[in-house]
Amino acid sequence: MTYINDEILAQVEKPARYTGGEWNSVVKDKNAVDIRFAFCFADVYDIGMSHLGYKLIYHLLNDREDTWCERVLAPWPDLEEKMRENNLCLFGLESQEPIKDFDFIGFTLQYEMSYTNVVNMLDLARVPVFSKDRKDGDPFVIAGGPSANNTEVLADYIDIFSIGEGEEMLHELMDVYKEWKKSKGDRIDFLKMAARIDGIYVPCFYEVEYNEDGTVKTHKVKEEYKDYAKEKVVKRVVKDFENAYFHDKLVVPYVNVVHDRIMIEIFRGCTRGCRFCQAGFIYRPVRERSVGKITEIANKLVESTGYEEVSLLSLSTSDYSSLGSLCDELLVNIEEKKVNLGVPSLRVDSFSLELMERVSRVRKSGLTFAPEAGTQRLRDVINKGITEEDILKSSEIAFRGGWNNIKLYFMLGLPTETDEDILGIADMAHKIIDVYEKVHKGRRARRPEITVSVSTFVPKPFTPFQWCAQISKEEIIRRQNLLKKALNRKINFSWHDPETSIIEAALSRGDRRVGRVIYNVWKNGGRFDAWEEYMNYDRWIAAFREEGLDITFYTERERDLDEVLPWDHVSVGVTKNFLKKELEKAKRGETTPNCMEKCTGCGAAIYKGGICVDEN
Amino acid sequence: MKIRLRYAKGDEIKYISHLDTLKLFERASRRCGLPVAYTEGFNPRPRFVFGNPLPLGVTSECEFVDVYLDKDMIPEEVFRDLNSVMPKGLRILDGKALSANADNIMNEVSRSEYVVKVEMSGDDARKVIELYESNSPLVIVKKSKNREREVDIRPMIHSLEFNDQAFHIITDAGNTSNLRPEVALIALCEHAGVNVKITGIHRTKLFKVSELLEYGKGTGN
Ligand code: SF4
Repeated sequence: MTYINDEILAQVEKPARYTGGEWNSVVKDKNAVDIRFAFCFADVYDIGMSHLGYKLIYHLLNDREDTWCERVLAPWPDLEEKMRENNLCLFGLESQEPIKDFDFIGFTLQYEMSYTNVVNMLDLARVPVFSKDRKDGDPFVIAGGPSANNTEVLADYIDIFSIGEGEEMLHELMDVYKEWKKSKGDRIDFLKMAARIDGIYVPCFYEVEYNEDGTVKTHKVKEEYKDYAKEKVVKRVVKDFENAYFHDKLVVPYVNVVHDRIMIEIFRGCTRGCRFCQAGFIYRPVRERSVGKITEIANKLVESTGYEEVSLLSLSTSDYSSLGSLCDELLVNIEEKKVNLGVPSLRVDSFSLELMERVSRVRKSGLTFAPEAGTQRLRDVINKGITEEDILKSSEIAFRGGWNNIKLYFMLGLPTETDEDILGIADMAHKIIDVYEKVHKGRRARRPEITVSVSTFVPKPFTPFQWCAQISKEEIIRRQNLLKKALNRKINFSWHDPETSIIEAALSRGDRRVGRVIYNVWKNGGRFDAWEEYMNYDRWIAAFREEGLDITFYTERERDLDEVLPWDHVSVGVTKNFLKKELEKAKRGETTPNCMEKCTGCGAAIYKGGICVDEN
Repeated sequence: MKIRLRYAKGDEIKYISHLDTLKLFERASRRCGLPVAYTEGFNPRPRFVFGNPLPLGVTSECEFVDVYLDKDMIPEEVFRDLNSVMPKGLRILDGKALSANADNIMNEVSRSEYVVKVEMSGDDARKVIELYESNSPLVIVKKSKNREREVDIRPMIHSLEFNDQAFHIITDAGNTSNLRPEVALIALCEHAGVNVKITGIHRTKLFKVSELLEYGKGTGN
């Protein structure tokens, strides 16, 4: 029986999002487990079921005999409306039962714009949305994932944060939970036990004081919790990634989801150190899996899922140390089963073009470059190790190889950006057209399809730009228009409304007070704010105002280097001092070599794993 | 070789669309190592030919798919292997080998029988049956892209009975003429002036074009 009845299901879009039962989904006897875990992804099924990390943790928890982990995704607004009309509450896909009596409600926080959905899901689950209102018998609400590294914005909603990679930490937390359950302790006792685990942060054990100017004065452990909570919570990493847990099963959705394929992490982290990129810092150090291991995983997953595609996942596939032999080995294994190999996020060069032709039946269109900035000066500022020459050379190789479609990604509003840098974007695009014409001179060739796509820079915690200001909305629009005018009409231009980037910036670097804004927005109907058609900028601006906060304090203010940042109590391994030095170098236009060339002592070596010990 | 399989779609997967069912078969075949033949060309596809799409939300015990194999296998082996890797709600019921030149299932079927569960009094049901038996035209407005047109759907309904709180109805189901059972029933009820609430639809039989041979349970012949 489905929890949502047929009458309602017949009226909503894609009802199979809610009925469960997919191949490899895990159904257990609820009376035979100690722990019921509702694992939430604060977006719709199609998105959540595309995230590798979400599925990995799902299978990891279910591999424990004592735990039944169920998937819970945000109901699309059409279903939410029916649920509220009929007094239904949020349920687990596997058991089709309400989650309010589960032991844990866990969220993986992948992006800040999903925060209103977090609140909405708690409310739909009929669990008190604020941590302080939960009583004995209520589930513990826990959160992890990249956005959880700035714990503060959701601090009032979440009982327990897990910082960093969950593979080992979650097992420890479940073990401690069972101990606590046996001891029949109070709610607070479990929080105390949890807080002692490395990487765990229990927000209600800390108090925050503010300066008169609104900045954080202190963030410290409350006196009575000194024995349990740590002043500095250090991110967990899986040191031995080669032998780390991997799931040999994978839920296979019935309905189309965004990434509907086997994804295998070939390495974790990134050595490059682009200064705007949070992932490049929070996942350090880089740790690789061997060709043999990846092939073993691929074979097991193809067999258990029947998927028609295996895709390699990492932040920068070209940096894998033996990509050629990995692809050869994989092809030998999967080709006869008529399985395709996808190798995304490759740097474009002759090696990768040859590789792409070999591995996948891609149409000869759609190559992407991400120079991010229009001039060498600014690319040096952001430490993007790519030159105009690289791009023009790669384009030439691509055009000669029969490609005619190139997409270029840039960011507007990067620190120190001037109009010259913006005009540099147009310049680069025009030069690519010249290259195309040179390659096809005298021949009647297809028209080149060159697209320039710009997003707005969002300063993120744990990056060298965490102290930098975001430019104002008016200024973003002015710069977009400047670029639009400068671009030859042969070039496609795509840009985003800056509004989402502004709200994202405020939430990314928010403090505890910003949590009230999220509640206010949610109360006033805010849902699915990661979706442009649902995000309402004015609602956010009004909420900041109503809560007595100035949004520009979070977005457009340059922080003092000595300021206590709201996330200073979290360490991701990379030290604040290193980030400061990187910021100074950025301002001087100096680049920093990547870890493969030289260790620059970022601090991640404390984990004694991956590249920090392999190469150096 | 070519094998025709008959399968049932239960409650658990009645919201899985026709296209997604196709994907389900592809992946299940790979899971059990079935030697499915692939099309030639740039983007080879596994060779499955499915019967008339089952509407979303409808269960069935007579869905058909023709599978082309690279190796000869006995039909029992094929459906046993597939059943071992199918999710709950999808069961292959039987299968038989077809000659290479047999027509595709798509072109063969012309009518199907459904059981439509309803909430309705016996009196009301009788009114609906009477209206059906009177043979009078049953005109509905069909909306296609940008125009509306009136069609008499009565000739597309071939049998209607009521028992056990359910209508047993046979309607056109094929490439040339197709009528969904709920559309037929709602139209009949509207014309008869009675309210109807449909609580479930289940497809029970398919009929062949030429002989109108029964295609249901039994042999799948
Ligand atoms: S410590 Fe050195 S090698 Fe390790 S991640 Fe940092 S910079 Fe790279």
